Amino acid sequence: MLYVVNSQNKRQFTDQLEESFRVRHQIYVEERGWNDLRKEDQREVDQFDNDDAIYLLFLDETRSRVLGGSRLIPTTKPHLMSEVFPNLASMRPLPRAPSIYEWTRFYVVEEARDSHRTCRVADMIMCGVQEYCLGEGITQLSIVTEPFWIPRFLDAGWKPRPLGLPIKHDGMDVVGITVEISEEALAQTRATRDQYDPVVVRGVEPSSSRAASSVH
Amino acid sequence: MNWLLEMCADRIESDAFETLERVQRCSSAAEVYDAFGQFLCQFGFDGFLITEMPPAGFDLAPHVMLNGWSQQWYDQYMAAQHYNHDPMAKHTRQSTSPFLWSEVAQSQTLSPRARRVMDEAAQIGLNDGFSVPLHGALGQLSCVTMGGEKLEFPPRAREAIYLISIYAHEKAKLHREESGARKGPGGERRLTQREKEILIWVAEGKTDSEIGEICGISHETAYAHVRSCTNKFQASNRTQAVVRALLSGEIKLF
Repeated sequence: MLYVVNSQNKRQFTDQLEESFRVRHQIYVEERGWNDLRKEDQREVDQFDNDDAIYLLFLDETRSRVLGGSRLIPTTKPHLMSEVFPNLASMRPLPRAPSIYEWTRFYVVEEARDSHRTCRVADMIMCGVQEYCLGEGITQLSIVTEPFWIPRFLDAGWKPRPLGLPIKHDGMDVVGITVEISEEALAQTRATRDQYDPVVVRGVEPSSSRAASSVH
Repeated sequence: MNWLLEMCADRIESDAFETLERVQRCSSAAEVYDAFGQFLCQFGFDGFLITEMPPAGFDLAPHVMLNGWSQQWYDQYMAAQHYNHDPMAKHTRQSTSPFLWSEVAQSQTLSPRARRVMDEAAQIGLNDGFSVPLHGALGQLSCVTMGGEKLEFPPRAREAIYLISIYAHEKAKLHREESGARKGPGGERRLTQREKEILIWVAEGKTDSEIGEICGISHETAYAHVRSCTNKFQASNRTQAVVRALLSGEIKLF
């Protein structure tokens, strides 16, 4: 299940959050080779990992292992697109509003990736992001991403809109886009991924070892 | 000189965004053909193709979404079954980034049969080209590919073509589906024995965990098999995959 970790409850998730930083280092630096993110302590933490960050952590059934995750930052605060990639919004204004969040750091640990190019954890995170944002009144996400993600958002019904042409960054194509949060997008994401149950866990009862696994 | 290049890049960007909006307003395959073709023209492209990419060995024709090649080249390519030997098709499968044909051709030694595809393309006026691989959320692979006699790639052109190709593909896919042009008699729909077995359990109403237990595999693996079935039938969910598998006779329940 996908756990919401924010400044209010992160004390309950100290270990998991620490593991998520190590996992991110493993994936972004070691695996993908984004060397600007390399840290000596092997924790991939940037200036946006602050109290404004909301993490969606996909934990295993014992809630001890991080299988995947993602991060949301309010666009009214400093975020990746406003601070590092403002040039991506060259044709449309930089999205900045209380109802718009920036989505970064979407990852799945290697062991949880399936063959056949499909991935259940990634599918559930996709569903969970729509589900969580709908519940919070978030209407749009801005994303700094590689263009090959756009077809996936199109397939899922997220209506991606580019903010400018892609640019080359570190030999990689990078583009700024916005996507829509809506009931339709959630329904289409669930239908194309065969995941119909809610996946987001908000409040956590500290003692139970296992969260309810199918809440209707 | 720099300001001139920058001005040109700015023009390409605003032009690209106009084209992008035009493509998104298209309500038929013919409109996509016009909007995309006209945009490509300025970079020296004479033709293009928007297609799904079945594995080598399959017939390409039923997978084509929008044919913007000359009829002569299209017929010649299909008749000679160039698809199975086309080095650019092969590179498309291995790549997530767009590429120029000339870059790929220079970086590898082509087999005589692959060389023949490129030579025949050149003879017909496709001296060079540009291909955009597109990987869908369910693992489907498509491609937008274009060629011409002499290409001109000013700064930002590559990025502009990449972005517009993504949206042209989306529209071409939508309008092909609307026109009801479904797959031909499909070898491509063949399921493996394991997939058939698992899809029958889906038809029986079993969940991934139950199927996993029955077949002695993990529920993730069961899930991956079902996804592969939905993929092969281009179904939007497992129910539709079961229906299509039943209708095509790939699985039987009695």
